[in-house]
Amino acid sequence: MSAMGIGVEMIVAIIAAVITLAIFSYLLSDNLLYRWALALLVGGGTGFAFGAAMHYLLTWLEEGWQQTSVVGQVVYGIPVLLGLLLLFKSVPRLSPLGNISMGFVLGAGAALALAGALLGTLLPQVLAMSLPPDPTTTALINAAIVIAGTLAALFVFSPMPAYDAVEERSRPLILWLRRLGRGFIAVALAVAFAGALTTALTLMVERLWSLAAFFSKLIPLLGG
Amino acid sequence: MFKRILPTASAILSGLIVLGGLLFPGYAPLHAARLLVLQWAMIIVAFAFILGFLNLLRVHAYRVGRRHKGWFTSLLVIISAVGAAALVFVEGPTGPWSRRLLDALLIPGEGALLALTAVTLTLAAIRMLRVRRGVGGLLFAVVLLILLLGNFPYLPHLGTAAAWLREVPAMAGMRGLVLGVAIGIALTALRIILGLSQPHSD
Repeated sequence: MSAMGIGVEMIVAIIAAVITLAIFSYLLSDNLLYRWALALLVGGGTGFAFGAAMHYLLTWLEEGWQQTSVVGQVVYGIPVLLGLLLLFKSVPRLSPLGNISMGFVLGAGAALALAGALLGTLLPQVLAMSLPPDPTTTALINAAIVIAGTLAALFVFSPMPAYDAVEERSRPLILWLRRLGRGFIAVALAVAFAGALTTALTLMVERLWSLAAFFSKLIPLLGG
Repeated sequence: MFKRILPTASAILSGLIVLGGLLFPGYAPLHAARLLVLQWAMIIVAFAFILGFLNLLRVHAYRVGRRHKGWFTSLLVIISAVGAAALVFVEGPTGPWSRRLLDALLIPGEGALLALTAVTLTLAAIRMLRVRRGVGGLLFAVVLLILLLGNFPYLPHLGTAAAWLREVPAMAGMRGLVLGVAIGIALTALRIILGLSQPHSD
């Protein structure tokens, strides 16, 4: 604590409380205080991410600078060269030079996404639909509902030509499968919504609690 | 050449190396090449951050310079962005002042913004019930009500119903959605790796 009785941690707590109150002021109306808090948050967040990225980049460049072998210098030099090419994206006439770097990143990202979709989502989700080793009648019924619901929900997004109303009536099975799928999706979205709402309410309680804790510390300091 | 051929070749090469390394983790040279390509991609993304950051500063500096409406808000964005960037760049993201920046501004601010979504989500749900009065809207509302009331310990039957809704029909709907999204991602990624789609050259 400093001579005035307010240390660095107290200043951190004051700023946190002011930012929280400014953002909560949006509940009254869209006001200037809220927008200033948002501006600080956007700037601070972007600056933090940029600073962290530059710190990482500087570490990489330092390591590259210490390389004595040609192979080592190439390994460290290629991404820097590709990165510098990417900066040409900001100059309209030279922006095609940055496409090579964009292609490199997109290719690597696409491969990660493909492997993640196949090994991390499709395979585990399909395997999870298998029956338990010793199923009861209830478990069997539940498993049948899950399989039917999954297929019906998939059917809603199947890449089929858009049916007009008359054609849809002539194919009642498709119509009912899609309706059933939409029903399952509505239930899934309601569960996701309830989860998001519960999380947001928990955060609201946490923020209000931290405000109460801050004021309970501040009042004795002010001599109240 | 720079517009199509080299970018596509670069995408195919990096994509095949990463995919090969993931699918054949036992083959050591491919595994090492995958790690190297991913590390290079991260370095290139760090350069992309420079572009994004400079663009943010350029846009807001223009608004401040021309005294556009809300110029002071833009000035706050510039000051906080440059200040935070300088701080984190000098002492790293885990330094004591960087942590204080997180504790004072970013964590409470983002927490408060997320807390606000409780209100906006409730308002959105009420508006949806006003606009969509069909079976889907009704089903959504009934399920939501059961799930929220099911959290109360005094209503055990609703709790059981909520658990069943979560574990059976919601699981089915979510699995259908997730499988659909995963198939879409896999197809799009495959098109990029095979060079059929070239978003990098647009």
